[in-house]
Amino acid sequence: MRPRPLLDAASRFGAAILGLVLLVAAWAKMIHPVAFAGEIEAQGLAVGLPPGAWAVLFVGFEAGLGTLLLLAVRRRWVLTPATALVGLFLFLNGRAYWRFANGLIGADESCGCFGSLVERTPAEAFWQDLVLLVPPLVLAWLGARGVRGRAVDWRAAVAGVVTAAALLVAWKAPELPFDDLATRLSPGREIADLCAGQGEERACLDILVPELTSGRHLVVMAEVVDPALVAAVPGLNRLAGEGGEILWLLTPSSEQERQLFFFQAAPAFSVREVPLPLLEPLYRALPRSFRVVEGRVVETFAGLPPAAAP
Amino acid sequence: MRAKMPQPVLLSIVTAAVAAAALAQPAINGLQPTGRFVLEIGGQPAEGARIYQSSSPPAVLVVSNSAQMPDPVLLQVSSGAVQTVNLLQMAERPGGVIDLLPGAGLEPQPNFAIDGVDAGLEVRFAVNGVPAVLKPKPPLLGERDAAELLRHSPEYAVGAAAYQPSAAEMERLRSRESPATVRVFFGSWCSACSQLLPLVLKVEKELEGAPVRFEYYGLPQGKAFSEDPEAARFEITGVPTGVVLVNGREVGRLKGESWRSPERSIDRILSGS
Repeated sequence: MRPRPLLDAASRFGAAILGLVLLVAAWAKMIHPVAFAGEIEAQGLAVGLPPGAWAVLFVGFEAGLGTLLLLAVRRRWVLTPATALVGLFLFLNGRAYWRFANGLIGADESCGCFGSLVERTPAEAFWQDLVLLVPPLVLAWLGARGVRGRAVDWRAAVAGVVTAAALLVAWKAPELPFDDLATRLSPGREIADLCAGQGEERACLDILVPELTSGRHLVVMAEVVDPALVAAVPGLNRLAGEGGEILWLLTPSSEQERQLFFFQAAPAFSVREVPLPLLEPLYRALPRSFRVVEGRVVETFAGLPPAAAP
Repeated sequence: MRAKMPQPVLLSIVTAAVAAAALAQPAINGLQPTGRFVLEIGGQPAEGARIYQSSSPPAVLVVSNSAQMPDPVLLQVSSGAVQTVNLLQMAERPGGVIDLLPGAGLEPQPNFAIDGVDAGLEVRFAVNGVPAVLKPKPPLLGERDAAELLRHSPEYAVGAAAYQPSAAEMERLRSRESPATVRVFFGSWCSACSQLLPLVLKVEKELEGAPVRFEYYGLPQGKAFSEDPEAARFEITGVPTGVVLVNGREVGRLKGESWRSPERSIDRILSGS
């Protein structure tokens, strides 16, 4: 066979780009596997195994495949599953795009392939995936000659290690301190930038809680029916009474649940409803808390604020 | 030999001590008017009753015009204590917010009880033996005007009083030549509406006499929302939504971020129409 250096370079480049995209996507899912499991369930893909197990396995598969492509392994046993994966992404996003175009779903519903970090409309998700995934895949196939000899062995070994690490991280992620990485809420973010929805449907936290844009605030996000929150109310009331910063509870709970919480738990701080689509990208698990100074997030806490402990 | 104190006497002393503590309560500031409850006294709706709620400390103040309950009643949520309060020790701020001055407490009453948790929260209490209950207020539905909104949800007045619309846009809207209508779909049950409707109410008030007119349409919660014929006609998927109409034709909508400054959004929509 005649050497084809240009084609081979383009093919390596395509495989590397595709591999990189898959690794980034795997990372975004790996740090928040619960959200991805919910997406798998919503898409009806959880067959035979619980959605959580599918999420972990999928992340491992995607990370392994991404590593092999990044290392220019372009054999059929790599490119065929990569093609199937790209096909699956395009099918899911294409279906969401069609549903959106026909008014069956809202603009804020995409396949969630990049976790809570990236917010895309179904249309954006479809076209971005088409551009990001298909040309590199085609390039990778055009120069698919494989990597001969022992090179495959060490590259496969590296991919094996990455896959194992991805599986382990995805499995343990809910207990690991990835909240700032996996959500849109992290120190340095402006309250006015914590938004959800697209176009004219876009809503931001500062519209619903304008008080947060000035002064010092300690904000707890929780369900009012959470026994952990109810048990912490005396501690939170103590914090609210200390002054210095204003204590807030932002909750997706209903009006009835909030009134019951008011009369049963007697919170001495403001409780405000924030719709779930706006709140959900801000946490991996409730409760979660954060401190705001002059409209900017300065500190986040997994769970309730440590100072509210009984 | 010491005489043993009878139990009823002991109970009276304890009750009196609790009452004294309650009467010596510190001031409660910032009781905000709320439209979340209706009051029934002796099984009958108490028309015109005003309910106030504060979070720090958690408390509810009930002011009725009923002869059966002439004094305002304070429900202190953390202790469950109920007491009448002196009307003269209540100070009203702009927007209808009430401050209770120190020593406003008059007479302790039995503690309140919570009932009907599954069917709808009910807070039961009694004043001088007259039973009363706070129940969730039914939503405001259909075609309404600003006055009706403020009567149903008096908390809107607090937000409206605090909002300062942008002068330049208000002036442009006032000087418009052709008429326009802003049809606002809302839910009196919706928390976001409590934050955002006061802004448009203030804009409407300051545009009085201008060619920009406001209409309000209350929608129900849940499945009935999408079944409402007006919601279906205007394809309303969430509240609050303001539909801007010129000559009966829709030229734009207030949704999401455009609620940040309704007058700016309305002006922008009308300038582009």
